[in-house]
Amino acid sequence: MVPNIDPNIKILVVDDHMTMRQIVKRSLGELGFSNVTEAVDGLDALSKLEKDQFGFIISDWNMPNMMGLDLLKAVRGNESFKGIPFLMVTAEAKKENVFEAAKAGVSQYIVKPFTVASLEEKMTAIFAKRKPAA
Amino acid sequence: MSVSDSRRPKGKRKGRVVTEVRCVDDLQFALKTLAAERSKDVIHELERIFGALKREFDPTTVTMTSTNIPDAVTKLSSVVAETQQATTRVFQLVERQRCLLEENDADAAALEELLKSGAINPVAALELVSKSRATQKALREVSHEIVVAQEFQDLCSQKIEKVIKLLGFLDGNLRTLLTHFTFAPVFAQATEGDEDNADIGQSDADDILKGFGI
Repeated sequence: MVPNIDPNIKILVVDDHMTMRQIVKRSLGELGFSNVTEAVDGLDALSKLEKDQFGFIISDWNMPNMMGLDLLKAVRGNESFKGIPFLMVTAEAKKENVFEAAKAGVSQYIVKPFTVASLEEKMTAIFAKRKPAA
Repeated sequence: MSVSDSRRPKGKRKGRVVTEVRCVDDLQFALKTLAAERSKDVIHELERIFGALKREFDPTTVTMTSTNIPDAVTKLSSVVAETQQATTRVFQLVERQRCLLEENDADAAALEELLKSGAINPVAALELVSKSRATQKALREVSHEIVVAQEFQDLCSQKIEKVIKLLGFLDGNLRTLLTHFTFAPVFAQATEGDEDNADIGQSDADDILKGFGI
C-alpha cells in the first residue's frame, strides 16, 4: 500500500507493448492498485481521458501515433486533465528527453527496467506533494 | 568518344551492380583517354575517386546488403515476437502458480482445522496430504515450464548477434565510402560526444528532475 493514495484511484497505463502494460499493471497490483485502464498510445489515452476520470497516468515515451511527450503536453494543455499526475516510464533515458519531460510538466520519470520498489518510491514522491483527498 | 569492349570486365555477372561496375570501367577508360590530351591532374584525381567508388561497389558488398538486410529485419521481427510470446507464457505460468499456492494454503488450513477439532479422521487427513503432494508436483512442473520459457533468450541472442555482425559490416563500408567523399569528419561528429544524446541512469534522471524542483 502506498501512503497518500486512494487504493481505488483510477490509473491509466499507456504503452504500445502489451507486455509492458502487463508488467506495469502487475506492479500496480502488487502495490494494491487494481483500478487500471490500458491505452495503446497517446491518442488512445486522450480518447480514454475524455470518457473517464483518471487520478494518475503512467506513460511510455516511445509510441506510434502519439509519443508520450506529446501526450504529456496535451494533458498539461487541457483544462480538464492538466492536474493529473503523470509518470513517464521509459527506456528513452537521454538527458535531453528528461529535460523535455520536466519542461513539459512531468511528475516523475522512471528509467526501464524498473522494480516495484522504484515504482512505489516514485508514486509516493508524486502523491506526497499533493494534498490528500478530503 | 568510343569505349572499347575489351576494357569492360570479362565474365558473366548479373544485375544492376554489374551495370554500375561496367559504367565505372567505361568512365575510367574514357577519363584515361581524356587524360592524355587535357588537364592531367584533374583527370587523374577523378580517376582515383572513380577507382575508389568501384572498390566500394564491390559485388560482394552489394550481395551482402541486398540479401541480408531483409533477413535482418525478419530476424529482429521474430525476436520481438518470440520475446512477447515467452513473456505471455511466463505470465500465464505465474498466474497458475499463484492459483496452486492458494489451493495449497486452503488444504493446509483444512488439515489444521481437522487436527484442531481432535476428531482425527485418517482418511480425510491422508486425502489432504495426497492433494497437497499433487499440488507440489504441479508447482514443480510450472517452475520447470518457466525455465523452459526462457529458452527464447538463447535463440534471440543468436539472431541479434547476426544482425550486429551485419551492422558492423555495413558501418565499416559506409565509413570507407564517406571517407572518399570527405564526409568522415561530419559522420564522426554525429556519432561521438553528444552528451545530451547519451543514455543515462535513474539517478541522473532524478538529478535533472530535482533541478526543476520535481
